[in-house]
Amino acid sequence: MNTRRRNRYQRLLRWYPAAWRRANGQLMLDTLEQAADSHERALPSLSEAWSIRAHGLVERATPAAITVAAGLALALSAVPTAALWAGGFNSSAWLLALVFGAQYGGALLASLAVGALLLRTGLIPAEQAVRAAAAAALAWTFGALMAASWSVGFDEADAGTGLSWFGNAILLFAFLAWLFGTLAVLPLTLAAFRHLASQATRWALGLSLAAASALAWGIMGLLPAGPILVSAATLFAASRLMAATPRTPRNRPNQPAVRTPLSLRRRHQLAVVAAASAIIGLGCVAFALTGSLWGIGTLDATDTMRIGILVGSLASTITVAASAVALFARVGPPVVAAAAALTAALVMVALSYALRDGDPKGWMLLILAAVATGLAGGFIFTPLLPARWWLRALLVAGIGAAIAATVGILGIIMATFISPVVAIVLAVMMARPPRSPHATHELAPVNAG
Amino acid sequence: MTETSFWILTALSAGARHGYAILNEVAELSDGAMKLRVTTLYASLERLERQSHVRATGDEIVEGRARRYYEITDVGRAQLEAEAARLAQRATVAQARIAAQTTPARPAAARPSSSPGVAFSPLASTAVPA
Repeated sequence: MNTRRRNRYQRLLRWYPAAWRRANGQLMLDTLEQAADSHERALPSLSEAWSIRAHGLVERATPAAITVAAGLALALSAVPTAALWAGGFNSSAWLLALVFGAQYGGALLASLAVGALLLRTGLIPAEQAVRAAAAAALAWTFGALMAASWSVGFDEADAGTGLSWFGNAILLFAFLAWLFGTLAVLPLTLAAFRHLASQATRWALGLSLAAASALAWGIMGLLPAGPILVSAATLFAASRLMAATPRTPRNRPNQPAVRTPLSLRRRHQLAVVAAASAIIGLGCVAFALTGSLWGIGTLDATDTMRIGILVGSLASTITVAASAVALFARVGPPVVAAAAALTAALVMVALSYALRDGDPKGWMLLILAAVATGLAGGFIFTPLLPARWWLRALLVAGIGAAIAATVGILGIIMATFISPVVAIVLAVMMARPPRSPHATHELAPVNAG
Repeated sequence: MTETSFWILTALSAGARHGYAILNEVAELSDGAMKLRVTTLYASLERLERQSHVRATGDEIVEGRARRYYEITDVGRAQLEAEAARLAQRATVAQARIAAQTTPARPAAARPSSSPGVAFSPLASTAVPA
């Protein structure tokens, strides 16, 4: 037995996670030795050593690790939006660097998590995956430098001091980011076209698609909401993957129990409430848009818009409550949490619009309303999420952050204009008789079992 | 299905094998075209196990070296059969096209009236047996 070779293999196998080594280490070591014997190798070759390292690294990309990476990406990606809300972009250069670092670090983690998810399909070998990850790290680093260069160049041009080499290097950094991004995506696109007979066509298509994808990823990374959406989607996919891994069966306390379908009387009540909410809401919309023409005191268009949104937001809480009662039989307790968060958000919008125009507290209230709106969205997804409490909490926070940072503020302010439509739909649905009441009654005992 | 998975499943379709035997059999079956590394083999076997295409049937020590045996599952066999049928169908089409290309077209006057334009019809040419 070649002790030196065996020791070398043992050292290389340390690149694999400890749990993997406990389960498969001896088997792998003996098979490596057997293969080395047959090829009369005294020591692992360079390519073999690189392969072991790459596979060891890739073996660490478990669904749990991907979930954590996506969660971290989500947290980092939310930093630029938070900084934008808090006015951080007007602060010191260091804070700006921190924000850019967080944004591009988040984008890198999100792309690594997406790559790790794809890797589980066996589309590309581990060696290529590690090279692609290294290229992605370089691509996002140059992306961050590009953003910093643009910012510095903008400041220098503003100050009229002339551009430094860094402020002038935006195109160079952009090109390098695109180049390394293309190299990162290339193994995947080449693998996607692996069935093509002509190598030239395969490379032409693979390169074109990789260049286009890298450009799309880069543009997405520039927008604060892009990495948030990607990491939230990856977090969701990775958590589903984790849920699919075999585990000891456990009780699902929030599994839907038997829920009583709405009675006809309750449906009629809801229809009346929703109709009333729709009428009030439409009145608020009309006042917000045309109130200045009604000749009430000295109210101008801004005043009537603010009053319309203020009262309309409060009126929307009626629609939210009615919708929650209607949906409870179908969704269960999460709808109550979502309705509570949405009601809080609407009240905060109303409070914000009750303040004097331009009051800084008003902006803070709108941010809080966006966060509450995001949480409401996160809660409503709960029935689809895995049972592990920490994962569920992480996902609710993640989905909430994604919604809050993307459509949160605009969505909740627009509630005044959206909720009358929702109220009308709800009123019509509740006024109509249920589709098959008998089927509901017959299904209930089956669900109970 | 990736090429690696195809060859591993093909090697296992004749019966259970241990890791090193799969390596050798894949090289032999592919006529040396597919040389798997030990690392790639175990990573692929792990993925195929996750997909329920193969399962480990037991470990043993032979001449001081650990061995783990793997066998193909019904799901894996069905996948392999589907992939083999797909490849065979593609090969048939390709061979038919090649045959149609190399067969010289006969003059119109000499063609039998019941099968006009066989040599040039894409639809008919795919039906030519390989």
